[in-house]
Amino acid sequence: MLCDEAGAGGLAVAWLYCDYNVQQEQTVINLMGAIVKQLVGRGGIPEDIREAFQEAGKVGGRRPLLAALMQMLRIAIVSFPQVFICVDALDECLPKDLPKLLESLRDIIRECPGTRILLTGRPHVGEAIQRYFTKPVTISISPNKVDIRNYVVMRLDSDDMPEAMNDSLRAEIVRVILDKMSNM
Amino acid sequence: MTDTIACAATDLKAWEIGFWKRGSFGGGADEGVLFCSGDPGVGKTHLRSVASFF
Repeated sequence: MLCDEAGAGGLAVAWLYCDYNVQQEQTVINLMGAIVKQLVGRGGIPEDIREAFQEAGKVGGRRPLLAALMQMLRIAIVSFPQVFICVDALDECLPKDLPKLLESLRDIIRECPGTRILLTGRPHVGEAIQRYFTKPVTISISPNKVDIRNYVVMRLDSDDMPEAMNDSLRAEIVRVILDKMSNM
Repeated sequence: MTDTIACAATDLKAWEIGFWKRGSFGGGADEGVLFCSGDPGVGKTHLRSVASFF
């Protein structure tokens, strides 16, 4: 796992999950701040980042602005051999925040080209990604029927009330689930 | 691996993941972005934990 490699090889992994239920709180500043926090939280806080927070605190105790966070992120990233940033469920990010989030990630990867960014989301968010990254590596994930069948059979084999299911019902369950999967 | 992870992993193209990690497409910094797309429930979230197997 990347996290295992991170422990052994000095690379760093930061991840975000864009949650539909907390969209309003997941502003771009909060999201980028969460990445900074994960990276600097792994060791001592770099002096540059400590100073940036102290500077921000002088102005009425406000939190750092996006530009300051981005600078902190650059400082944090270059302190590692390689950084992986994973942003899960990008389609659950508010549409008004998505462009700025992608723009921020683009700036990071162009200024720190060793960085690797993993994005996941429903297919429609791919259009937005293409506007900010000209050549992203894209993989389409689809359910594998054999795997689904094996999984369903395994769950049926471990059912705690096997006497409630005869072979006919068992076959019907497998067939219906595979049929519904085909319509996804 | 759990069964769910195995489900997602079988559809992954190992060489694409490998090139993403190494940055060997020759397409500049943008090739450092890997986008895994799919409908709800297909196992996208689990890719966070399987990407490094490749």
